[in-house]
Amino acid sequence: MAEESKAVEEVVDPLEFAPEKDVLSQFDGEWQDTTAAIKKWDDKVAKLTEIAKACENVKIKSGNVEAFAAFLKKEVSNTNVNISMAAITASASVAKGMKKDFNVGAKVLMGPVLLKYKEKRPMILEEIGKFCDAAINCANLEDLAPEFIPMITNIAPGVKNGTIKWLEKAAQVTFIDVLQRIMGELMPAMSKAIEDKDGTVRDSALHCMGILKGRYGEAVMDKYLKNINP
Amino acid sequence: MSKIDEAAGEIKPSKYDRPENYKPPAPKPAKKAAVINDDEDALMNFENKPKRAPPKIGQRPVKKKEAAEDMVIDSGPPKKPAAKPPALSSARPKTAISSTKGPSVPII
Repeated sequence: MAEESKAVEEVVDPLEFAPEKDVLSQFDGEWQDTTAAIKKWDDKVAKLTEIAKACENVKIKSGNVEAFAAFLKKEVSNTNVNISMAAITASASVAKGMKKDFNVGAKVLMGPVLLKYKEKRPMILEEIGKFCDAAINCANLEDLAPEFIPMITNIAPGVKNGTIKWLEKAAQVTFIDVLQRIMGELMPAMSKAIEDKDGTVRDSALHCMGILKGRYGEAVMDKYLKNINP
Repeated sequence: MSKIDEAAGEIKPSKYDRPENYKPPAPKPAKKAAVINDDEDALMNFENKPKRAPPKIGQRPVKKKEAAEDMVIDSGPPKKPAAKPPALSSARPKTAISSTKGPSVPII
């Protein structure tokens, strides 16, 4: 049993031995300005798809990601769903290839990407999921807390539900000291989500609370759970 | 509440239960286990090295080197032989006169 769990934890990253590529210099400021100025949505989508293609099966060379993340954030927030989806896909590809080097980028993009959970199209929800999974490897929950905690209490049920489900996943692979540091901000939002009027949100929140109880321990969680209706 | 408890039961112990910068304590150096040699005929190895060398049976002990006699201690210029002490009457060799008899004739 112990050997089995050890084997699960020590998963070899396939990109560890992949060739390193300088993707950021390929999509420099000039390229970003040209792409941002494109009016036709399909042309813009084609341009954004280039990023995802360039990041396929490569380890991305570290560099200053702030400007690049700001460009992607603008495109993620685009009202056109296709452009937004292409930008999320590109963001996920960069996050996957850069990992810890995309820490700043993950912080910049986390909020706008989670907000897209309000969309109902399964294709975009899948892309959001891919970005969120990749973001866990870029930044820890403490770094991302200012971005995702407000989403737990967002108006849109989809945003709340998507964020809680991602939090549940992330909480299981986060070191306990990091979880303890965000507890003060996280638990009031989660307590509110448990009493949400939307049944899906409530169920997700209850399950997530259980996961958090398993991580924090019963004694710590008691003060947050004592007011919950059985 | 039961949903929460159910979900809490899903959590299994993992490496994430420790702090992020946790380092396991360095293992203490293991003491050398005493070698128990049951086989008395077994050859001696270096681990059971005796404190004293074994006695050399059938060999004469090596004599210690004596101080070299010919060695001349260089202590400046050669000294003159010490002057003889003055001759005392008591040290004078006695004549062959019998000590039991006194002189019969005065010696001139």
